[in-house]
Amino acid sequence: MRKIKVLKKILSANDRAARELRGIFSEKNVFALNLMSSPGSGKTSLLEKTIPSLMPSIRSGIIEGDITTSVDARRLSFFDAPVVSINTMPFGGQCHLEAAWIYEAFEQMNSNDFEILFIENIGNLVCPAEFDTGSHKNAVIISVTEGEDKPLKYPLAFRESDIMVINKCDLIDVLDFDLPALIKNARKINPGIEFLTVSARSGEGIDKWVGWLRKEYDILSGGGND
Amino acid sequence: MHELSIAEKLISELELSFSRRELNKIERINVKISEYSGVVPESLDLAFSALKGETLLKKSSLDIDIVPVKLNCRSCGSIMRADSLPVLICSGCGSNEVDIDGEVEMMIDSVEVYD
Repeated sequence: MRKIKVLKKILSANDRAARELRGIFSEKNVFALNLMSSPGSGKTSLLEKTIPSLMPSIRSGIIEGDITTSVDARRLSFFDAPVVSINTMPFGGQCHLEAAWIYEAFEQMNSNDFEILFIENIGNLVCPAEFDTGSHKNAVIISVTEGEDKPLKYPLAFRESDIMVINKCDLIDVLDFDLPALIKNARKINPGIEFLTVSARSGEGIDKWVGWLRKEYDILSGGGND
Repeated sequence: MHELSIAEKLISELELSFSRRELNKIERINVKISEYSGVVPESLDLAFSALKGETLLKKSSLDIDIVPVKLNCRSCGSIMRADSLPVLICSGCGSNEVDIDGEVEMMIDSVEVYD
């Protein structure tokens, strides 16, 4: 028996595709944001509130990941924003999006039609965290109907995220949700993570979220003098 | 169940690295996976076993080595093994301003072949 050293990253093909894609997004002046969360945290509802609030100065494009169905893509198709749906069923029902699939979806869009590309990942906090999507930043959405201990249970998703958006904050009082404990847990995993509390239902906090998105787009496009 | 696509990628990386003749002779694949990744070794092994039958790697088995997380402390500069996962703190000074040493990655370390 002979041992041969290989020393290759298993995900190197995805990492390469993601790096290339990030370069393309930057070159086209599109700020790409990957949204990760558990199912039902309100990613699509958040986008329904966000897209009109960014208009008209910032237009959105959406890549919508789902294992099956295009329900979410249909919900977002009422806005004047291009939506491309990726169903992972043909790829074995995968629970995450990969850079190559996002590349293909992005090629179906006209990048002159939007300034921010939202990549709505599959609702799952484990798998998407392992696969670089090519986005500039990652956001993790968590709702107050979930536990305060989510960051400790799914550390990689919180470690990889730049911002934590805490949704359904209008329900905090009914639920006895311990917001400081959630923030403390998230900071234990990722000391630098930013956070915002919002309600996609009542609209509370959406202005701050939109402000964060505008700031990130300005940074990418060179201080907002585009 | 992203172990299935990780197993697929593992197979395609090996198919790129070795000739058909060499692939046929691979007996064991040594893989290193960071303790901080979300991969379940048993699931990866199961996924690999399910997929290998269709490939030239059908005679090979997977050996998965879980690699402990090493931390670099930005406050005191020490390097240590993370002993309070999933929380990343410096066991020396208690700071949470720590970086994971290297990447949280999955690596094909080596293969063992019959000659």
